[in-house]
Amino acid sequence: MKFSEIKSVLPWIIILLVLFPLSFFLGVEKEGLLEMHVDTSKLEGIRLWLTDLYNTQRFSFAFVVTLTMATVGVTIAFVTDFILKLFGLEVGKIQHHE
Amino acid sequence: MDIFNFYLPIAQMEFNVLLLMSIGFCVGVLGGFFGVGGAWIVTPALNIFGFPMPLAIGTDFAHIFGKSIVATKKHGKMGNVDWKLGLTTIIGEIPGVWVGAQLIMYLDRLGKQSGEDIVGTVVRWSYIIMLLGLGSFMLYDYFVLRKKKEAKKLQAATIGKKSLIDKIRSWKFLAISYPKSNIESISIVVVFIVFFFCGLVSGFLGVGGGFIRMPSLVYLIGVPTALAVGTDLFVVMIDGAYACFLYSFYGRTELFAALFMLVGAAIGAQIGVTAVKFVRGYGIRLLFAIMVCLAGLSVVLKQMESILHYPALKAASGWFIMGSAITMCVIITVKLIISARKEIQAKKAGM
Repeated sequence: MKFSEIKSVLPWIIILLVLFPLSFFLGVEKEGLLEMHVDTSKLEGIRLWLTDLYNTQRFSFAFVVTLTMATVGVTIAFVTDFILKLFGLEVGKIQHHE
Repeated sequence: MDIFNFYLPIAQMEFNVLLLMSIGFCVGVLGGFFGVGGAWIVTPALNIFGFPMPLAIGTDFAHIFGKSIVATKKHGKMGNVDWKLGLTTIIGEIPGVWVGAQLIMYLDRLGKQSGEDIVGTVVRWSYIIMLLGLGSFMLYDYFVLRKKKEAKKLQAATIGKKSLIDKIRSWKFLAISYPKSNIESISIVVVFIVFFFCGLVSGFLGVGGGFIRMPSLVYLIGVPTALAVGTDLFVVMIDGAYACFLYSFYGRTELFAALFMLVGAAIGAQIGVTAVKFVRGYGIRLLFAIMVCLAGLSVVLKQMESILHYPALKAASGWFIMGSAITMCVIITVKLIISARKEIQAKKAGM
């Protein structure tokens, strides 16, 4: 990806990246969304930690969920690439035909 | 099978891990094969198996985000992503997703006040209309329109008449160019409107929106098909990250369920992507149309259950969607094996 390719749309992207995270907080408290709680009495270990985070720090919970999915996604992408290469099964450019 | 049961802390329910991985695997095969996210299977499937609709949508988004990273990396490597176009679509997509999510939250609040499952009903009806409408159109396209299209193309070329799409594309207000996609100029307003609608559908139904964005990229914006597939997945990744965060912040994401589905999907996608090499384009479209109709019918069963309060319909709906997805996966895998064997035999004969 060349910088010159995206330079013309950068101002729009920056405006959005600044404005839209703010939208998370609009009207959230009054709707009681952050007051939703999950019962932690049966839980232990990582499930207890995650649920505590859910109950007490929703922003951190959202951050942890998004970061975990991103990390696992990237890891799987590299691992499958590596395995396919190992077996000589790497999928190259696909020829499209009707 | 109880040993595979896993307690999902946010959903506060036991769920079979094998079932979650199977849902992910089927969606991986179908998504890799059809070039779409396949979330229109995941959200109804999770809802049918007991997730409340907003939680099913949020969990689906988390799974879509993880899966689209895997797919975008692959397509990026193959040069199938127009990065500039992908980034521009955010201008419309992100507000669209936000509006869609607000609508879901609004309907959820209304439902809680009235004690009815309003959000589930509205989303299920939207799915029924969209899936059956899209599936029927694609079947009509396959059996009827396909033959007429070539003749019409020739006629249009002879007359030199400008279609509505040509007029939209030639609008020069705040024009922007996409050299990689061979688009000299298109108005950014058009890009905003098209992708705002895609984002709205995506945020409201909890889908990546590939089945709407792909035709939009190809037919409305004019992007070549291969680039549209890769760029679409890149946009799904950005939308997915935003929606995953948004729904998690609203407390509507079950991380463990999303992770189990992601593992299944990553395995399935390898089979789906490889099978594309061996099946002709119109064959893929026919299978896709059938699968879309079957998914629509399963939601009809679920909706009938919520109206008639007949529990057997809920189970029937669940097995119908899973049975359809598994059957389609078997067909794709068999086609892959037969074609691969033929290719190996041909290579041997050549030697």
